[in-house]
Amino acid sequence: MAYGRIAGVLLVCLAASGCASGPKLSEVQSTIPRLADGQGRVYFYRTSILGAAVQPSIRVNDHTVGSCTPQGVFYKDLAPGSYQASVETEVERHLTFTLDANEEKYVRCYISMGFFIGHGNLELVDPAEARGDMKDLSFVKE
Amino acid sequence: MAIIETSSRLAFWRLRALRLVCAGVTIALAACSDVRMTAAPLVAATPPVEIYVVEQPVTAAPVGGQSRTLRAGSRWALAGTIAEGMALRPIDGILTAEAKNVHEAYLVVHDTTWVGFWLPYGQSFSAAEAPARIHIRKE
Repeated sequence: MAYGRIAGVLLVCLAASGCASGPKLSEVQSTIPRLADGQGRVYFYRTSILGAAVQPSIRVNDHTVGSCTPQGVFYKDLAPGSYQASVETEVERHLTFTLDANEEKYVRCYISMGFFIGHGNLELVDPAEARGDMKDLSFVKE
Repeated sequence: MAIIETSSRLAFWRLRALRLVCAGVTIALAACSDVRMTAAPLVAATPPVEIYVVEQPVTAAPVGGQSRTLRAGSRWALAGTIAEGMALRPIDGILTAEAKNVHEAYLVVHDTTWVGFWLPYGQSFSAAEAPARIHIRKE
């Protein structure tokens, strides 16, 4: 019984150690620079701690922009255009989208079951839903 | 008698196991493929932007992809036309065509039918597996 509890506590600690730390997005929102005119902004975030040890890099058009960190959020300002965001563990998954000037897009990263290791996935999220998701996440400076 | 019962029970469980394996392989293969796409250049609409409203919920799926339901009252801006119909961009939400990968998508309507999805990245069209009748009006 005691071993079970210890194992449970260890598991929680292990999961928590992989989570993003730092101020919540809602606390630093006012300090985030305004979007430069003619640019677009993409927020990347991950709410779930499921598969916390799996934190694949997020690439946009083959450039690494950050990591899929549990309970973390970051943004990347980009020129208007077409983009392919990717995450890769044992398989590679893409999200394709376009970005207009002065537009904000929201991308959620999550980990699903894999054969040997969890699979990273990206999905486009409705802005209203994403703002609700992100407010309590830790802001990660990339 | 007991031997016959045992062998038929064995055959039953073998068949069940085979079915499970087949289902697993089917799911794995489905997860490995992307939605089917063909090139579809867009002729952009000219201002003023026309707005359309979906009046009743409607569901469709791209070939090889997951189904999507449009909610009643959702608003869409005419982005332009492609050979298959008019491409409408969501105003107050998002639409994606999803299989192995996820693609931002616009709704493609021809007359009163939701015929498929237009993917702005790469300007391609993904047909609906079963085109659906859509109740849509200009705002």
